[in-house]
Amino acid sequence: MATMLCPHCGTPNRAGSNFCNRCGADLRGETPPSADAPTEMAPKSPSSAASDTPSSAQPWLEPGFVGADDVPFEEDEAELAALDALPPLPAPAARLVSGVQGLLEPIRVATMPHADALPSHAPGTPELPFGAEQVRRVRALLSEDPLLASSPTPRSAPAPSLWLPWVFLIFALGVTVLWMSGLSLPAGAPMLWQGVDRAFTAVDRLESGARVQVLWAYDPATVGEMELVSAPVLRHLLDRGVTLDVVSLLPNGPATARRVFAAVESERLPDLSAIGVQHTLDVRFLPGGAIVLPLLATQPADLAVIFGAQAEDVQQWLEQVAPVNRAPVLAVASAGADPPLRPFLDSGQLVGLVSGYDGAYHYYEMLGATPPAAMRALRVQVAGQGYGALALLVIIVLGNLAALLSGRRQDG
Amino acid sequence: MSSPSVRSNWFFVILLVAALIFVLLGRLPGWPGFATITRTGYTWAVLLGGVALLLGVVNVLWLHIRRIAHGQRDWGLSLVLVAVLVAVATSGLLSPAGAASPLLEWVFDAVIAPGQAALFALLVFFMAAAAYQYLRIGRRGGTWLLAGFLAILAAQTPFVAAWLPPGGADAVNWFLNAPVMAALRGVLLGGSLALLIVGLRLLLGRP
Amino acid sequence: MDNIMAQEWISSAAIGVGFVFTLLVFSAIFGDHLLARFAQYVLVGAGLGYAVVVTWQSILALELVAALRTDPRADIWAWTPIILAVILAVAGLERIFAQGRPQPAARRWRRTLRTLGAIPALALVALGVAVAAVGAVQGTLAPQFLYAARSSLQWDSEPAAFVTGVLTLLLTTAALVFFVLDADQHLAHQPGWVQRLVHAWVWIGQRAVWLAAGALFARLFAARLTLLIAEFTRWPGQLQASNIGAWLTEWWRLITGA
Repeated sequence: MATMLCPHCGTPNRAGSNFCNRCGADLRGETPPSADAPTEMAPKSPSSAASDTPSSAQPWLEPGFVGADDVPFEEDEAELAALDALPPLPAPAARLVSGVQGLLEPIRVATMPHADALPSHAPGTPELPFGAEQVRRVRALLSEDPLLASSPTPRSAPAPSLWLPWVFLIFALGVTVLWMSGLSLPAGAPMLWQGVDRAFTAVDRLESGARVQVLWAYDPATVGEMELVSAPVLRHLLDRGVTLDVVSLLPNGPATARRVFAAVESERLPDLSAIGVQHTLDVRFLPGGAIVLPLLATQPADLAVIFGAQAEDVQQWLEQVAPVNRAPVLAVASAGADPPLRPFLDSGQLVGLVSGYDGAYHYYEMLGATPPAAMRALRVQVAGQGYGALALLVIIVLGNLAALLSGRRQDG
Repeated sequence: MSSPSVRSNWFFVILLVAALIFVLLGRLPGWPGFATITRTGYTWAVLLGGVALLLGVVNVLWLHIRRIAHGQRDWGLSLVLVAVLVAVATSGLLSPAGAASPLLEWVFDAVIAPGQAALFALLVFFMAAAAYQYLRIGRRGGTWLLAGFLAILAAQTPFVAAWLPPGGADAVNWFLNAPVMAALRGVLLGGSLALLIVGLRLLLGRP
Repeated sequence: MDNIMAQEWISSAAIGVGFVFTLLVFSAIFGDHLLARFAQYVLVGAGLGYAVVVTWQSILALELVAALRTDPRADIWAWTPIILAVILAVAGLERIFAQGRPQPAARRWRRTLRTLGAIPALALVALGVAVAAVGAVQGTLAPQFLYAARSSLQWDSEPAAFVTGVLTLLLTTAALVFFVLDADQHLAHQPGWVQRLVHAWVWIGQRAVWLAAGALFARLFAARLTLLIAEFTRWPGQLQASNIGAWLTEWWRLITGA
């Protein structure tokens, strides 16, 4: 697969990507390394010299390369190429030994082959959990084809063309101008998705002193949404007087958890805060990714709550911890993580699911007391989601008109 | 004499077999004695994971130092990156409070948190761009994508949801919890099956 | 230093710097330019530096100190991970610093070091594969498969629930078949009716996956839009509460004459 190296964090990205999937750095203007013009950053190693594919000039940057995330070094001596000689690992396995991976942001969009959100590569939609690339890989795995050798070279992503700034402009104007103009949309309550009531019941059943394991799987990148969703559940847990055992696999997770916890506590106990009572949350950081999750399975718990910005966080817990310590699992997740978690809710592996601002809204309703600040934030979200949806619908209509006027079907 | 690659393959297979036994025994109920061994093993993994993470950082640092040394494009920005990295790491390591030191808390609040939040907030613009290009009737799969998209968008946008006919909310809930869930379960099963087969193929030395 | 950091203007400066940083990052929407790149480089540098501190403080320092306090003759197991970690670190550093340099002929010490360094790295990878594979079977494959098989066809359920169950089973299997089967490749030697049947199944699965992708896209859009709205609403409040907010308000009054 043609890749380009992020100049900031060294992550391989699909050629033509606008932003780094790992650190979000702007890659526009970066050119993918080519076989005939190796970049300075990517000296060609003897072990890879035989290959013609551009990406093989940097074998340690391939997702399948053993230890790619941990020790991305150059192979230069054939007799020492112990790592090089190993079979390429699938992305999920490489993900588990992540080193610098996931360091800067929690949404490791590059780990599973998430890249193809839609039938072909779409700029800016790297986060859907499956796509052509993943389908191709799975099929390759199930056949006798080598994992990577059978990769057809994907079409390079189209360069940003003239329409892109216009779409940005329409969307920005659609949200901000509508908002600033004070146009009020008809009020309405957000949708109540299945799973919120069951989540509330699961927490409400806890007795004082119950032991609750918490996986804090988000950091400042998604705190704008996740704080909104996690605050009512965290508040409910604290109201029940449970003992929280909080762990994060993200370096920025503990600091984020402490801040959210402090905000919830200050709303929950304003009187105690005023007289200087300290409420702190002890959060452990565990490096190594999901590979270390089984460590947590040795601890018994009455409930496990996953505050996750992506479905993968919850799924890993359900795979590594829940089958062993048998604690019921509650997912408090981003709206984007909601659909992939539905099968787990349906099968009963999740006792409840709260997702998105709409989930937060209804959880507060069930709690019976929405703090003023949260109420303001939710109202703003209700209005903003309306403006955003309107702007997006206009964009979609324009896109369809453009296709109609151009008069040609696109093969996608 | 076998080649290094064959030797390393065999070595990896042996390690994989040992790891599988370790993981499986750790999951068997009624083996309390093994819990200590499990804990010890995973604690080692935590430590090695920490070292791997630091090595990753060193690698990035070295990458940028080389860019500076060779005067490559944006070498000045690489210099900024290296300076910031070294300054933050040094100040944190020298402070007894570590990451909880006032300076690092300041860096977190002033740089890391707003920067990351802004980067991710930007993604919605690119999603809008993707919607413009791909949610098109006539494009392969576009109609189906658009149908799924509009159904959920209508329900999750409060003022649109208010116009839904009676039973509309229930219908969308059913849509999310039956057909969409079923398709995603198929995807989940496919992904897990693939992972299992990868494990088996690695075990058989046939990647 | 702590005294300086405790001063009020420092916290105001944090808000100001954060706001400027946010603007710089957002400016990337107008295209690639130096200031946006500058913000991204600073962000990456600060993030990596912070991660180093957190990792050292929460894991390495604790483990190292704990191990160094034990007597290796009494408890060799306490020292084993330290030895592995040191080998991994030294071998990794050697390989990192070898990048971009002309490689001399392989020396024995280097070969030995790299071979030793591969041991903990491969052990970590092997454990990762084992954990992922066993977890996938126990946590996803088995429960999802069993539940789908058990719950979909309940003959004694109401008609609506039964139809939903059948549809769920059909779409699950169709999506799975679409996902794992390359009909053109795998069915080449099958009878025509089998090919037609499987093609129809794959056709259904593909549509189901597209439909699900659309639904997923909508929920993702809501998630990302929530982040943008949170940014829009966070800054006015924070700036207003700080000296910067008062200063900006005063400046605005001067400009507008209000």
